[in-house]
Amino acid sequence: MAWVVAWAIALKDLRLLVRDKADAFFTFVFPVLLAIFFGVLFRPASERRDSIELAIVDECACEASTSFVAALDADTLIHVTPKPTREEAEALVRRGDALASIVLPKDFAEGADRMFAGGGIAIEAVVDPSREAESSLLVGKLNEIAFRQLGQAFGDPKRMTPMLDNARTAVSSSETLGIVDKTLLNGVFESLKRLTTDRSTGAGDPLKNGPFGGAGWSPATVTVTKLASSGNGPPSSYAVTFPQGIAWVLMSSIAAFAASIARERDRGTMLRLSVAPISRATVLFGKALGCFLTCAIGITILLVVARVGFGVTIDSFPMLVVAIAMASAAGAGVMMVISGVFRTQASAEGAGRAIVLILAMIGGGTIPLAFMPPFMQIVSSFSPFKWAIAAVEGAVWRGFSPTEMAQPLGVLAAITAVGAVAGFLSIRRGEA
Amino acid sequence: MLKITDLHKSFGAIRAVDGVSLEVRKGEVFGLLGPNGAGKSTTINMAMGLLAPDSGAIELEGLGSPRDPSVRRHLGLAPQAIALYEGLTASENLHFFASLYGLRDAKRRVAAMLELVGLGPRGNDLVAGFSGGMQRRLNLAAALLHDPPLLLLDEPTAGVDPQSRNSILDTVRTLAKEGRTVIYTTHYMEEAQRICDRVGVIDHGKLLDVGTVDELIRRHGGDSEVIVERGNAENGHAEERLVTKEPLAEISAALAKGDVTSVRVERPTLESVFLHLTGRSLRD
Repeated sequence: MAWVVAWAIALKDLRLLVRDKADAFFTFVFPVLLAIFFGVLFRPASERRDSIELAIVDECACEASTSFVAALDADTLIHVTPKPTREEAEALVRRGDALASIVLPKDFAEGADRMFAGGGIAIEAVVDPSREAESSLLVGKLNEIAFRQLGQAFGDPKRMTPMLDNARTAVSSSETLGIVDKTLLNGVFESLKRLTTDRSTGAGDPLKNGPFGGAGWSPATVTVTKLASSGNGPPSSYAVTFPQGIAWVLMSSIAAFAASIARERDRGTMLRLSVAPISRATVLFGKALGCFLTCAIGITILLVVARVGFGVTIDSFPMLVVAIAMASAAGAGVMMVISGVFRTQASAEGAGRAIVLILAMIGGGTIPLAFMPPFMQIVSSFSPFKWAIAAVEGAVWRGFSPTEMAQPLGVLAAITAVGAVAGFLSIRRGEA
Repeated sequence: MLKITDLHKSFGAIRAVDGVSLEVRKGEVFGLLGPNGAGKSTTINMAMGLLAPDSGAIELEGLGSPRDPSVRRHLGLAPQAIALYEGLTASENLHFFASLYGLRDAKRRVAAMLELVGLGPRGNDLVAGFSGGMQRRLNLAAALLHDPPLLLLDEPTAGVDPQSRNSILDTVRTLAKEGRTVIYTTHYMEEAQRICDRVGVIDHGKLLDVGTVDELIRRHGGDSEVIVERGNAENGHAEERLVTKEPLAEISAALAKGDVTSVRVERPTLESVFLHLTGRSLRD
């Protein structure tokens, strides 16, 4: 009977909480929004900008320019947005949506054919002045791609032959080069032409079989590998901010339920509960159960959003269930203490809420504990919220062993016990 | 039905209840009159088992003390404050209170109580949208839900419109006729005179007297007053007030003198009883 009544009280309180739009928002929605907000805020730069955005205007629209744009877009660091005019491309840069506007002019193809004859391809870039460091990277990237294009031309006689013919014409008509230089250069170009022709027929292809390797040629081969997680840090900022968000779930639940008990006293509904044929302990247990369920539901919503929406992985589900249960029980314990101290609705909603807010803030609700100065980390140990966050983090990404979990869970259990004592004293005072 | 014997309760130096003894009989409406701070609420809270007396005894129908939760099943309380959840509908409120008593036929009882207090069609509306009178009626319905033989109604008509007041008073009389015992506290003397079979006057923690309204008036109300108006259009009118134990004799005598244009009798009320017993008005 006692369990049935306690369950009825808890469900009634949950229903009232959900119907109170402000309480429901701050308990179930606000912590999620806050976790997302801080998650975005604390994202490392590499996560924030995955690629360089470029607005590109292909005025040449020739084979060489199309190939160049395709090479740019194929680069993992670059994302290309084609624009028909320079104005539209520059507007994108002005809005901050692109690092630079890249124009491939009408004579882009001619430039490509004159790579060995001086000049080379012409690219016009208008860059965002506020992103100077990235501009340097961009220039390097453009050169790299142009050079890669050249490398690929070695295997294409149709592109290489006119390029070499242009070069030889330019050398022959040069007035500054001496006869020796002209002979040497023409020899080099002739060798290159033969090399290209041989590759096209497949006979003794030195680029394929020789020391240059296979596809095309490049001066250096760079293998890029992402640094693996050391196992000690969070896999993403969301793995920190979503567990951090449970401080807000607990805070809202504690404040809402402490105020609801005070409201029951003020409005007389507690009197009606007290005259029912149930013990006061059952009434208080029902209130604590309601707070426990609200905390558990709020934390679960938060972590489901983290998992589904932001790819936060859970190290240990069984450990997480225990952590959520203990954090919620401690939340109910804190609620009992607050409701025992602040017995009127006004004091519970005012001073009670303020104290819970301070506890949440020093417990890592706003600034992650890791970012706090050492003395604040010591102070935070007095906040139940720190231990709730630690337990959930331990199960989500810290990879706590059962022994390591014992500390936060033990503290949470102690807080729950203090809450139970507060409830008992409240019964003894006969004012519950 | 309810027997209170030499009840004492102090809060620090304040003696809230000082030797109250009374017996409420089965099927009667017992009015408890007293100003704020008289000890009325403390007596009620002890009768409901919410407070433990310092000394004395409270026994309900031979069942024992209402401090025992199982004994409280026989009690129904409509507190002075409207003890309802505004965020729930009328029906949800009653279903919740029914769950506290483990009622098996809760659905039927809830529907019946809503009908009894005239809120049948509003069962699915949120209490927040109810008028004060409707909330008072629902407050009464919540007290009746588990069909208790003893009802305690604490100022059940405070701040309600005349229509709801009449509805509540009629409901109380109906409940008494059905055999329920009702303890009724009120500031409105006319209500106590209208519905209470017996009335107890309490002040400074002491029960000053108990009796039917007529008995109390006879004992403490003083004499009736006969007001005789004489005169005519030419000489003007004059009013004569005669305090007497025998109003009929005084009226006869006045009529015999002639020139009487009107006669009326003002009987003493519970207000005068209260004034006589406590030296102050109930509304002071």
